[in-house]
Amino acid sequence: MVAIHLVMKPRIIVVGNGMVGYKFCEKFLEKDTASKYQLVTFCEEPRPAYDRVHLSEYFSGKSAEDLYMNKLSWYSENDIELYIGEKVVEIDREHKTVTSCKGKVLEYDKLVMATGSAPFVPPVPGADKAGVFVYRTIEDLDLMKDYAKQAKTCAVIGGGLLGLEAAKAAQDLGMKTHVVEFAPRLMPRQLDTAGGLLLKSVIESRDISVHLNKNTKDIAGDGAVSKMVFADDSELDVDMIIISAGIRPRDELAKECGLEVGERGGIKVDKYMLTSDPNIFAIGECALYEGMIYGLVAPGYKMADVAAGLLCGVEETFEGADMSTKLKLIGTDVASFGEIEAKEGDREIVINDDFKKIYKKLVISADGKLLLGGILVGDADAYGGLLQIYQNKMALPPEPIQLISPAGDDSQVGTSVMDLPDSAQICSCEAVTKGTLCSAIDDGASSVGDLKACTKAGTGCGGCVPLMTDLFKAKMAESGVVVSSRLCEHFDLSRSEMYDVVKVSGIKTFDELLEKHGKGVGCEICKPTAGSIFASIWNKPILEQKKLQDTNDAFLANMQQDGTYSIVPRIPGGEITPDKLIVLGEVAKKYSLYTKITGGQRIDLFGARVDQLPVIWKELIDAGFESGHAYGKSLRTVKSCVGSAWCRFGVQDSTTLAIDLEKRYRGIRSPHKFKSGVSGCARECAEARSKDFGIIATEKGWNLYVGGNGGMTPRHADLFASDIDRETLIKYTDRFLMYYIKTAERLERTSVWLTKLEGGLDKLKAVVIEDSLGICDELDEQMKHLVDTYECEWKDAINDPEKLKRFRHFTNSDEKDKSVQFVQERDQIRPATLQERNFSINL
Amino acid sequence: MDTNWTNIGSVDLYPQDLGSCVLVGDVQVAVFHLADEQRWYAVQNYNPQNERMVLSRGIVGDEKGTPIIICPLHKYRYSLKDGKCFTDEQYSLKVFEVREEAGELLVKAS
Ligand code: SRM
Ligand SMILES: Cc1cc2nc3c(=O)[nH]c(=O)nc-3n(C[C@H](O)[C@H](O)[C@H](O)COP(=O)(O)OP(=O)(O)OC[C@H]3O[C@@H](n4cnc5c(N)ncnc54)[C@H](O)[C@@H]3O)c2cc1C
Ligand code: SF4
Ligand code: FES
Repeated sequence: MVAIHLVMKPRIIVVGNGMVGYKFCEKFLEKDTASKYQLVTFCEEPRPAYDRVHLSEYFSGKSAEDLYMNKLSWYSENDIELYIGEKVVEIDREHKTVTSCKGKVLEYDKLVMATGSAPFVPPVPGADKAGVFVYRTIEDLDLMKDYAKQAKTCAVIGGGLLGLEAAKAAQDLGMKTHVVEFAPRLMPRQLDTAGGLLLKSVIESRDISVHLNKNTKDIAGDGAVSKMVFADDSELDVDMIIISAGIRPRDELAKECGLEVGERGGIKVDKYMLTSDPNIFAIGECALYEGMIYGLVAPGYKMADVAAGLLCGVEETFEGADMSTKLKLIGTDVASFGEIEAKEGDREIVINDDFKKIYKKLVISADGKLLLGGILVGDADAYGGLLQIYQNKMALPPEPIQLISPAGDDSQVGTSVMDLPDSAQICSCEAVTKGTLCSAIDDGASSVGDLKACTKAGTGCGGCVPLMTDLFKAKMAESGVVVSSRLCEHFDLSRSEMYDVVKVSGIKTFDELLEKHGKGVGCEICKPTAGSIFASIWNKPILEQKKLQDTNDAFLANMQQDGTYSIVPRIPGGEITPDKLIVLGEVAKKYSLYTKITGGQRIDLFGARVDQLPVIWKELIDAGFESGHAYGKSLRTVKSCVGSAWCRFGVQDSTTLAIDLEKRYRGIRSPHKFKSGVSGCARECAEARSKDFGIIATEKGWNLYVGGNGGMTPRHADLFASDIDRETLIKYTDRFLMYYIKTAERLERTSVWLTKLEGGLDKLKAVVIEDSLGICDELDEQMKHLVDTYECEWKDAINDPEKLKRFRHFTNSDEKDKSVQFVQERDQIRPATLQERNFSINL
Repeated sequence: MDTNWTNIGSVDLYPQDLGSCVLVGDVQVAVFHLADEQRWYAVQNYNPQNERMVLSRGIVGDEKGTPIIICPLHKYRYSLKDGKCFTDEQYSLKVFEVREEAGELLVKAS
């Protein structure tokens, strides 16, 4: 075969497709508008670039694909040649070629080194024993996960940022965990002694032991690790070790081809990210700039931007970056920025609350005007604002302690985000300024999600999201848009507030609610919301309050574009007998209904006129069917797979569970519809992880996932609990759903609700599992009431002449509505289009 | 053509705060009874925006005090008083007179 290159574009080869290598490609595509260059990238790892910053989420339920920086198809769509699992083994600078481990030789015009770094493994004897791991790649995590099954105790060597993250992961894997730190305090680079001590006590209260001033001398064990011996001759019995003692830039290739490297490693670069060879750039954690290796993404992204710019003829420079960080560690917030200790003449303000476990420190210039740095442990809410003051050299208030004094009194002094200059960088990962965010809002970004999507701000470490949210709210308020969750002009309440009002004061009718808490007559927003809340709390058939029901709920069926209805009987778990299938076929045939299998594993019958609904329901009910609530903001379907009953891989009876769950939650009204799925094994044929709550069978029981969504903004559900039994599963699900119903806003799916929930998944777990709010009894009781008082709404309606009054097209005539017309297509009906319709309107 | 009052039956047939549809000659009329004002309204059943006969099945309410009917399909809002569309002013509805007499409802639509 002969490869013919018609037009040979100059080629840029990127060595390494990690976070920064990827970002380079993305930035380069944006800038290389004329598409002058061909981009080629070599990726040593067996998958394209992924979000290493959120690596630990791989343990909490995210898949490798979830973590991808971009879909695999993105590379080909953008004409990037990506060689996965192919390491570059040689660079020939004279001939300007690179050679891959598979023997591929490619010429380059420009080369970008983005080889990142590797964990530093100190030369301790025994570090090569089985059971010793590092924490950097997905493969590392897979190996750890596997080994952890047989391990009971784990030690993490290194009490820095990554070490503590690894310790959390080890604990989550079920091991008794120790952190061993060489320095006299935790996170020596980010914290001072007092802050480090406070962090230690927080971590120890979470049952992780911390050993400071410990120098590991030997890792002992027969083939596999069994104990650690320290320089002071003390010992610690462990059967697994994670080393997190720092990083070493991967400069081996650079060294071999004669590029200048630093004494302690790192490829030397200038402010354009150029190495000692003018055709070669280095960016990210492999690059050494003015003696510094930056082990964070934000500086790496900036480097990628500078290099991509220069290649496209835009001169920008890298001037160093600050190492400010904010993270959530083992249940507590830690942040630091700038100077963490006062130098000669500078001053400090410190709050050290050992009861609440909060430590805050500001370092301030001698004249009291400038913020030079700070530390926050335990409560880092002030971080965003402080960082802005620090970075923009803004004037401090006369009493700077107010910036970190505990919230509580409502006279929160701080800098409002609106006071920041437009040039203030809100998101440092993506280098997005306040100005850019403001114009995006002016151009119509209508939510923080929108802002993220159109500016990329908040998509890196996520640390800037609170500030972005403040900015968004402030801008909205400024332009007169009320972001308060006020329902509509008739009620000053949000849905969750209305729920509480109804629940607490026992209100049962809209008129009473309106009289006591609202004004006017109501509208299509507050009426159905109130109707849904009444149903969620008192659980009476919804047509008892006919005037509150809109469109579908008003007729217990789904209104179609032509004004006819579709009918969806419940088919729990998607399981149906041949006899019942025949009934559906017969009914559909008798009333000439269009028949379709839905995306929810059931059958939909379309084209019924309003006056036909009761008779059709009657036939269905007589045959043992009931309402499927396809029309309601309520449980839709619990999809199932055949599971262990039939499937050769099934480990549990997923079908039975799905049917039972569907029957348990049928009819329950909620802020938005909710869906579920149960899969019989990890192959996940029921797509449970795209559901509001999804269940996947394991050898030991069930894994429960929550907050998934298909639809417009798909989201994989988060792992909520693993290997639980059926009883626990139902208990957790009951509470999860009731808590959602109680607190979510109108038309907010569980996915959105969960993302907005302060404290996120951890908070949800605390509420549901540990009863941290003390409301579990109430939730359990409410759910029991709903389950016990379920009634089929169709059955209720067909037996109540009052409710049936509205089920006719004309009150004064039995004529049919002539404007409804069908045409035949593929042997069934469909609504005639407006053009096909043969009908003249008389007014 | 002369307009006449048509008797459309007992008021009991027409539920409060909901819409009903009646046929007057060839015309589909949507009739509403607002309990709040103790008043009847009637407009065309045909929604000019989506060209469907659906307005009687919409929900009623008010926008800043003006009684409105909201289309069940795409939520366009129309004033029951003069038929103006609040959502998109290019649309409007024809309104009809309606009154109660000795327990019977009369509408003037033909
Ligand atoms: C009938 C069906 C399509 C089909 O022919 O298969 C369908 C039809 C409608 N869907 Fe759906 N959806 C159907 C399965 C789905 C699925 C698939 C699934 O459930 O596994 C999804 C994605 C999963 C999800 O919800 O996360 C889906 C995501 C949506 C959404 C987007 C929701 C979101 O969170 O982004 C809407 C719009 C909404 O609810 O606001 C929607 C809305 C609708 C509405 C109600 C649109 C409307 O306002 O008229 C459609 C009317 C239903 C009717 O007339 O019966 N439908 N819809 C499916 C009925 C399933 C069932 O048996 O109940
Ligand atoms: C668990 C964890 C948590 C972290 N948390 C944070 C955080 O909260 N905030 C933060 O700012 N930073 C954090 N970091 C650091 C952040 O992930 C790194 O700064 C970032 O990944 C650096 O990107 P990079 O592209 O330079 O290196 P990498 O992401 O390591 O990518 C380099 C890639 O190049 C490949 N490669 C190397 N040599 C070759 C070769 N010869 N041929 C082909 N490919 C090669 C490597 O296999 C690798 O895939 C964290 C890191 C870890 C491990
Ligand atoms: S999820 Fe597993 S048990 Fe269920 S059908 Fe698929 S492979 Fe079989
Ligand atoms: S600062 Fe990291 S995502 Fe914005």
